[in-house]
Amino acid sequence: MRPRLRLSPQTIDVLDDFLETPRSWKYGYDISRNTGLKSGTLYPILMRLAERELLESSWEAAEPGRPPRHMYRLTPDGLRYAREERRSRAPRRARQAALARG
Amino acid sequence: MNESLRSELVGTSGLALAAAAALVLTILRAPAPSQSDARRRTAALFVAGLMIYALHFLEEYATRFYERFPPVLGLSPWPAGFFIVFNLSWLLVWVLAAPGLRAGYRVAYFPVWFFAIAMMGNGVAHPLLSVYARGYFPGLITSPLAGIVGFWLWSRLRAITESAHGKTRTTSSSPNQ
Repeated sequence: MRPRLRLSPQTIDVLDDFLETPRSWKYGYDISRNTGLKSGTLYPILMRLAERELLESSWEAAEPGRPPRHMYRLTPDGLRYAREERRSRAPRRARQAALARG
Repeated sequence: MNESLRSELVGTSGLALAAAAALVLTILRAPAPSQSDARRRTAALFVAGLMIYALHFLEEYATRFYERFPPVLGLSPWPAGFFIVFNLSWLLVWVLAAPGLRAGYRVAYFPVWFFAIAMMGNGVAHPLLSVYARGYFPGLITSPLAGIVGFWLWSRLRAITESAHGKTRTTSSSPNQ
């Protein structure tokens, strides 16, 4: 069994972004824009998630005058993992929301 | 600047530094006279080094170094086409430099110095990348060979060149030479 990922807030943001459209391919640039993460933070996270086979990657077919872009999407394992992580964070998020409400 | 171009420029900036160092060495160290045997041996070592480089490139290509390395620097992966063209272009320059090195043309020393520095860099960088990745990193298996041949070639280049500054002084003090 693979060691569990240590999930930084940034990795959680990336997984959450993938969960918005779970079966869609996404470009690094789009994820960066949606999460506000700079490429220096984002690409190492994508690499680690891909190494753990939580993400799969593919190259977009090249179009004339534009370099091909790398795309990512959740694997079935990745989708399960991201959903479990979101569920496990739900009680904590609810507690934090309750505390915020006073 | 688009993301791909930025990744290609920043990701290869280490090699740009190696090229700058090679240029400085080419300027500072002139081919030593009467070293034709040593030059022939160095050229043979260089050609052997090119074969090791080709092997190293094949390992990197087969294991998708071009997708794995840029993210380590926080950059987007390189398209395979860029990686192939970049490496094969340099291979062509190096192949053309081999007869020049053998003949003692100073301009041919620049790509050979660059090759030696780049190969030493490979010998150090890939094991470090593997430590970072906590496992195999593309290019690791052939990188020690690359490092050894790079260091060996560096030593040979130092032996068949001499300080251009020293040479100028010698020449000016011995006009009959």
